[in-house]
Amino acid sequence: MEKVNRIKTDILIIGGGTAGCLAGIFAKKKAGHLDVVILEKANIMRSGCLAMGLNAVNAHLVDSSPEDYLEYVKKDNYDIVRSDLVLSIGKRLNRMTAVIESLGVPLPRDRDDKYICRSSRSIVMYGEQIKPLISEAVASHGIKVFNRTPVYRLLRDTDDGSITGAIAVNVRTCEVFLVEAKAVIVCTGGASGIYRPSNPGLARTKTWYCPYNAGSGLAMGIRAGAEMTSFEMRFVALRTKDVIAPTGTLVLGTNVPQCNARGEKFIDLKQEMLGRKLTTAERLSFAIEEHKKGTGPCYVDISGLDRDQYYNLVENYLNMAPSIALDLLRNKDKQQTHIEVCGSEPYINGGHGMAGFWIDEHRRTTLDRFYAAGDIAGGAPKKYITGCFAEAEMAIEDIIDRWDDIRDTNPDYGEAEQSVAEILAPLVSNGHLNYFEVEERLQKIMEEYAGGSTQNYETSRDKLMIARDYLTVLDKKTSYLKAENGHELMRVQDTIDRILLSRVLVEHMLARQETRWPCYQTRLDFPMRNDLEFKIFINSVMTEGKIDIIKRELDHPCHKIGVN
Amino acid sequence: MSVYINTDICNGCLKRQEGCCEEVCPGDLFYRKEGKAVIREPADCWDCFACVKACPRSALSVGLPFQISEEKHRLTARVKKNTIVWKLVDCEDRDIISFTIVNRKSDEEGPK
Repeated sequence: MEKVNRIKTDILIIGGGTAGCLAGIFAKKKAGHLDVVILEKANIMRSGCLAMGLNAVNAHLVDSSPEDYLEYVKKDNYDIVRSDLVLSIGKRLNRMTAVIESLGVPLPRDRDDKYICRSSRSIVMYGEQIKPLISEAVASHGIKVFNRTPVYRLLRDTDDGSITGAIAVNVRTCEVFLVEAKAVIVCTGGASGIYRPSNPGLARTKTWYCPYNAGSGLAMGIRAGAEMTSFEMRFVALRTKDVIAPTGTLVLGTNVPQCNARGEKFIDLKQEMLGRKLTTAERLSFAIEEHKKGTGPCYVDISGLDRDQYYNLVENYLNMAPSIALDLLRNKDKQQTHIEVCGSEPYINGGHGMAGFWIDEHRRTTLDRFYAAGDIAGGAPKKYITGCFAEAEMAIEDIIDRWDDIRDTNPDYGEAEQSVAEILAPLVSNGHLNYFEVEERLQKIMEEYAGGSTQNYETSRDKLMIARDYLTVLDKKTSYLKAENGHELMRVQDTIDRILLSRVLVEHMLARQETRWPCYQTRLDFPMRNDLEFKIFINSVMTEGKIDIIKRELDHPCHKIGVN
Repeated sequence: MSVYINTDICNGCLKRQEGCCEEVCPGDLFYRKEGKAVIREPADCWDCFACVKACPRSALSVGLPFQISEEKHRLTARVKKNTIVWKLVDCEDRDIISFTIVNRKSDEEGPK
């Protein structure tokens, strides 16, 4: 039996990405006497979505108000957003930009000492070191960090079932950590690796969203009975082909046109025709449309860039997605003129998209003393880094406000013992399956029946029913998964989590019988938007292994989650 | 091959409990064998360059897998006090071009 360590702290943060680390820093700034622990799957120095760095603050309000931001997010998401959450983020965005700067990240300014804008909501950042700088701040604030110690399950209270901590296993030593806390914030990432990757063989992990994000925080919440929202609004990114780097750097940073294979500026033409700006989902869906019409593929035309602008573009990419520089500098003496673009594989995420925990304005989930902030918190798309910071701050403020009213903990260690045995089972299993084949099986099912990129992101009831059946079978086979060591155990648990998330995703996709967001959620059997019936949130709760769908009105008082 | 480990230069960071690349990789892909860094599964690499930036001896570089590019050149980086120096090299490690980019505010204006 592996060694079991019991630790007691005040605030436990699950996941040391940007949101998690900032939650710790805010906690220590506001209540320095509280003990704060971060449990991290990798190493907070370079973990999570921003391991590579970041070259822009994409939610910074340049000469616009939080209300303008809400209006934009609402329009871009066809009215389904949690206005209360989005607005509360909007009010804090620019202050969070100042926090980024105070960490030591350079934000270049122009001659008038103003940030350099890429658009009315985006400013340039030299953020290659953002994660190391954040982790240095974590260390200087006296936060206890357990690296390489992913959380697999939550601890529950014996008296009332509230969340009182987490169960983690160290990747290197397989030691078990039972961490008990008065309040828990989950700040892990969304999920990639659910659909088949765009690239083959050695290039299969060139995904846009961090491939090591398995959505484990969502999975542990689902298992504990937390309510989830909007999984069916998957996030699909329009990205450069092959290296799957962000296109914003091209289009926003340099203001260059997008065109189809015949050189027609299809985005401009559509905007002229509709008399308005396209939504993010439309930019992707119209590119797919060009493919279907036989006028694809589509490109970003950078032939107009002079040498300085071209090298400036390369530098911007080096700050965030360095491998595309290899493509751009393919020939030293000859600039690339056209960058092909494509849709990424679909992801579950709450920082760009809207999938995640159903939370209230304080970032409380539906489970008592359990908060969610960042990519894992649902209902508020387009929050990006500053929005993730803002949510971390709001969660911490609420915890500190109600600190004296939070009951003492009494974790159910009997249940924990069972969970530990369940988590470690693959290490002693005689099973015949390895995580890789199971993951590929999952990706095949989701790709072909639940609207992967090769299906133009489209699906229908009958296909989803097949996906549901296959996933049920696959889920039962996970007991045959085996792991030789801590690394493989992590991969096995990631795979099990991805299967659970896929099951929830399919239920959500079945429930939304309309097409709300092109590509993100396209039902061939219900090709139109249906405001009469579906201007609602699709939520879900799992009870005893069964996933139940709950429909929630857009602005309903049930957003207020009770305080005990 | 995604991450290329130059085993002539890599010394396995043997004085450290973990190699720098091993310590930092977000995918937990490195381990050490016979005093050198080894990548568990090259196909699991995200190309995030965390290991390249962390390596004290610049023994690591990244090239695109053949599946998505026939070119053989690689990108490497060295993190200095307030800058990062990126270097594009060809298949025989000859420099092609380099970029120096500010990555931290300097001490004068430094973190508050």
